[in-house]
Amino acid sequence: MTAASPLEAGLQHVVALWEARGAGLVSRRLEGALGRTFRLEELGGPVFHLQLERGRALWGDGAGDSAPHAEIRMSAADWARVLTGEWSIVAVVLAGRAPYPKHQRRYLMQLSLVLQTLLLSEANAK
Amino acid sequence: MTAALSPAADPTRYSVPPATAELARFALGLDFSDIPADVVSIAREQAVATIGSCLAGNHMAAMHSMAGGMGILGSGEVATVFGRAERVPAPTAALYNSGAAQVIEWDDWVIISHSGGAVIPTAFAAGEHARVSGKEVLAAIVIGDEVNARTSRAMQRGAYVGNSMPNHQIETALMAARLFGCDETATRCAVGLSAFLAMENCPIGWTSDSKVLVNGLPALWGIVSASLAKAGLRANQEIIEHPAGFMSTVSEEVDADELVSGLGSDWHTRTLNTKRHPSCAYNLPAIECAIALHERIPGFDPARVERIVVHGPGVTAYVAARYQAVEPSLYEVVRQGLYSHVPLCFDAGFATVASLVDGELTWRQYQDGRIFSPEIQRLAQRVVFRTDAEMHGAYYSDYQYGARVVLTMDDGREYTEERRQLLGARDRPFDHADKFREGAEGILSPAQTEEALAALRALDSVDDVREVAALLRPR
Repeated sequence: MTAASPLEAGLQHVVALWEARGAGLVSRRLEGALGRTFRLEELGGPVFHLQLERGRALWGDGAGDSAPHAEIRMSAADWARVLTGEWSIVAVVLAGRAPYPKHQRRYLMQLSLVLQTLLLSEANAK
Repeated sequence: MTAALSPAADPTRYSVPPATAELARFALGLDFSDIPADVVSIAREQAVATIGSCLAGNHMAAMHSMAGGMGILGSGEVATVFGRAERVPAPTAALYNSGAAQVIEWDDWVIISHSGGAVIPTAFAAGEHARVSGKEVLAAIVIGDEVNARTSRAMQRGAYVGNSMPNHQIETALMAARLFGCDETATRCAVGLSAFLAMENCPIGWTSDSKVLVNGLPALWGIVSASLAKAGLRANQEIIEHPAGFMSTVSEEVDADELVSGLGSDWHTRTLNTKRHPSCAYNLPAIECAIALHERIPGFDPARVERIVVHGPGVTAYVAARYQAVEPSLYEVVRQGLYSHVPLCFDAGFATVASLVDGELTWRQYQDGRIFSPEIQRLAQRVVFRTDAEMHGAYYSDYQYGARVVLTMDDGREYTEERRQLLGARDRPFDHADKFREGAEGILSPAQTEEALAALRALDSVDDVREVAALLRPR
């Protein structure tokens, strides 16, 4: 049995947190992140899809059934720091290590803020 | 898009409020006497606070460079560069003053959009050009705030937030058109010219001095556009709301009803928030906490701080960590000159640490000597962030900017400071004279500082704004 990749392990953590308390962290300005399908790729590694909805999260292997609203590709090392909340997705974008196509920007920005907020919420963070 | 029926509603035709025409009529029709007294007072104080920021900005290397290069735009004894001796054409003055207002992120905002950095330089530069009264300048400031607030609300579900919102080329054109005496058609055309080339910003540009252009170019171009329109240059007259117009070009989502909602009755100028310290708004309560800790811990020694935890809304950590993934490190690329001090204006870790070490956050902390001081560099590695769910909710529901800073010392003692709202918020004001004096220090003499401050606070009593502007040039 192989160990879960940083992306997979981090996503499992995110999904558990989201279903416990995520919806309360989303405002009207951030709700664009909800109901969207995100394709998450670890460079040289696995691909997952994630969709956040109020009170639940849908995720799994591969790109999912529908066309993604946004795609996020970064290294395992970057995912590891994003999925602890130390960095945001946008921080990796601004470091020049992840793409940021214009038509996906607001989804990426809003997911980025929602994920980091969730991961740094006091009940979760040590 | 949230569509509303136009007056001549045809259900078969795409229809939104005729915002360009309505905003033009508002800009031209607003009489000073129709503005509530408290709104006038806020606009006057906004001028005091923003010009304080402009004066402080003169200390920064970026503004020395801008002063050195802006001569290419021509010369002319027309408008004031706050804190400098020369007078320049109105568009140049607006460009420089807007840049100076923003170079250390010390400008204000209404609703969710920075405002004074564009509105005050435009009102003064265009006002000096047109030789209008202080009341006219104040009316223009209110028009700028009211329009800016509404365009920001209309695009709030798009990708842009805060200072990056690309909405200023609308209000600056309307303000200048009013001050230049344009008629309604020319005013709509001024907006059409100003907004034709939508000035979106590249996110990575915020790591550099180019940040000073984010309101500076709209201020410059709004004034130029009004001048061109007054001379007869025609442009599209529904450019704001048209489905192929400005708002739809710059924002993925447009709530079109917000563009004119409550115009002339709900005064969004009342939502003005000013900053006591130069940094991103999300950092301000943490800065205040850090300064309070510096002052109240007996014999405070930064070398004894082991850990700093900053609690706040999620957006504080998001903004603070935005450049932390840069290699080899944010501070190293600043040291190499690849980035300027600008990303540190958004970095809550730097702001908190610098405030804690120095007991202040001013333009001085954005100089290399302080950025790279050993105390600040050591502590910058010891800051972590946490989301406080209550503060997070309060921010999004009621624009409450909270923070709690917890220091752990090397002997295990903990010290905590908390603020539930930033100093300078609409519901927690401070005396803008303090900010003006701090900004003017080293730029204007103490006597001239007081004279200028008094003149700004009596702006509505002068017949020619140039009398007040003259006091903002060092004697």
